[in-house]
Amino acid sequence: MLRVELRRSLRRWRVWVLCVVLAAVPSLIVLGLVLDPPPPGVGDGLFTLATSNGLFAALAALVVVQPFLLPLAAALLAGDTFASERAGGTLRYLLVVPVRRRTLVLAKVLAVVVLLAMVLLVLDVVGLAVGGLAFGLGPLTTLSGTTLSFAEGLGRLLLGSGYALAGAAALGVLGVWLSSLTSSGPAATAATVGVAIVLQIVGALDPLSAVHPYLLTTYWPRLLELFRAPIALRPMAEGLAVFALYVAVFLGLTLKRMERMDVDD
Amino acid sequence: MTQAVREAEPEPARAGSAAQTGPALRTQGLTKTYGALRAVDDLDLCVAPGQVYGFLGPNGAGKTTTIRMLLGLVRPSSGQVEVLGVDVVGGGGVEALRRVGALVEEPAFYGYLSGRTNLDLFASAASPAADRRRRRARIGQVLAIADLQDAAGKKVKAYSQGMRQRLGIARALLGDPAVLILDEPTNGLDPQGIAQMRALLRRMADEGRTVLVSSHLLAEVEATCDRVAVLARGRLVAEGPPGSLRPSGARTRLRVDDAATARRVLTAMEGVEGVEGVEDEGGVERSGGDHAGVELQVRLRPPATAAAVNTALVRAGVAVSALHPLRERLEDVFLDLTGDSGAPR
Repeated sequence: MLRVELRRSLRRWRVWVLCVVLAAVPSLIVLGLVLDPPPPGVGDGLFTLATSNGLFAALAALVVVQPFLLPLAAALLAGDTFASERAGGTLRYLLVVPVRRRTLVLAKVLAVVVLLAMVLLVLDVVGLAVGGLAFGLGPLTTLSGTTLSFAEGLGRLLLGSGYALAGAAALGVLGVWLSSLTSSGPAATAATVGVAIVLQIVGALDPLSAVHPYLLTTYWPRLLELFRAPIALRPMAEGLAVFALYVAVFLGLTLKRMERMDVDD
Repeated sequence: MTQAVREAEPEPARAGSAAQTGPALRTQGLTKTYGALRAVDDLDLCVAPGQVYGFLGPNGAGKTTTIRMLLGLVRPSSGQVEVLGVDVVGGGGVEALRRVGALVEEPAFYGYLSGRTNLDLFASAASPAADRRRRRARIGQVLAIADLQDAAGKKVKAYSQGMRQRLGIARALLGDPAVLILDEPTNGLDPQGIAQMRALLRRMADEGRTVLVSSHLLAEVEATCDRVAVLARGRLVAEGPPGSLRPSGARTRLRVDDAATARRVLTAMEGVEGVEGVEDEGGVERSGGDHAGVELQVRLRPPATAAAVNTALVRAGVAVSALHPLRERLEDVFLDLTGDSGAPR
């Protein structure tokens, strides 16, 4: 069933548009840095480091994409899952064919994760290619000032992408649940984006710091820990645990919802 | 007949003996309530294997809700649903549903994909492990049955309503089902499409499949069905062979010059010789020429014949200027049964 979902999704333009948009991010960053290089030695921010190495261009793109475009991608992919199948009437035919409801939920969630992984991979590959062309590929200077070999740096980038994927997948599963509640795909997508925005706003409000540990978005930026030396594993492990919790809760809610739903629209 | 279905099954082991002996579809006390509305109310249905079973009712009578419950899409509020001997309530009927093909209201597809790709996706969803070559062969077959080979490569959003409907039938046939459940399959079709759909239904029946077909048109099911159930406001109001739904006997219209005498003669024949229901035709009096007279209606059951009635009237000195059988309007019968004046059009 996962294969069916992927075959179907990959025939949709929106998936490829997403890939193109996400591929544009590293390209734009590199273009900006080439046209207007930051003065050497000033600051130690991500963008300054980016000129030192193509790897960093990919990393910078990942960091830029994570709080905005990646949640949007997750919302777009997830919002469509059940809502548009209900609106289009194909849900009842899938169930009658028959596909078990549980199988359908798992396939749709997995498809969202796989497509997000694909989008992130495109981002990484384009970032490395464009950044490599502009600045060369070589050892990576970490945010702490130490140096990683290229292979190590590449490994860190992939781990970082994996972490970003886990964070986006947690939002994606929430989006699938929202999608199971409505028969309007755009409404589910908008609601998912809304959740991501609200969570980030709440996360930025200090008076509400008591709830920050429970917010999905609190843990997203922790992917930068991978680029410090030594890596602080604990914050990232916490993040992964929270992502897993979100996935478990909303997967459970979606399964419960779909198992019981009367498909009568 | 059922044997033929068994042989055509891709996985004969699944057929199970219950499906061969018991009813293909059965509901008992089936009820679905939406708030105060009883969409389906204590419905008992039984469809024998190999039957073409018509499911009639005005729009909103509960046909679609019943069909959705048969297919496990909607959970009954109470009552039982069995498909090929398997209880489907609670999603337990997935194995039974493998042997069922269905068209539920509009045939929905992924418009951005071709007809063939749509069929391929649904076939893959049904049995992911199946051999690809066999799947393609089956898709070719059902496209041929639906007469869609030429349009198979076109995107479904470019299909006409009739083509979609036929593609829906093609999808329903993908699994070579023993039972077909078709909800209003002629909805939105032009006369030619309706004729094609009827031919297709007959073919399905000839192949030994059990077919449940719903419609809000009596003529529609009368032409094709072995048995008919009539639903109104969620309740079963009539069930039996389509012929049994009509009152027996032929309604006959008479035009006579002397209504009073004619009525006396006919009333004397009433009950004894198969004449019943003598009624005035709303005081239609016509004057002049051959058409002068009063019109009466009677229902003639064997042994009564129009000739015998005529002879009796003439002997009594009544001039009969016209005597002809009336065509019973199916809609009238239907309206009588459903007690619903507004809904069906």
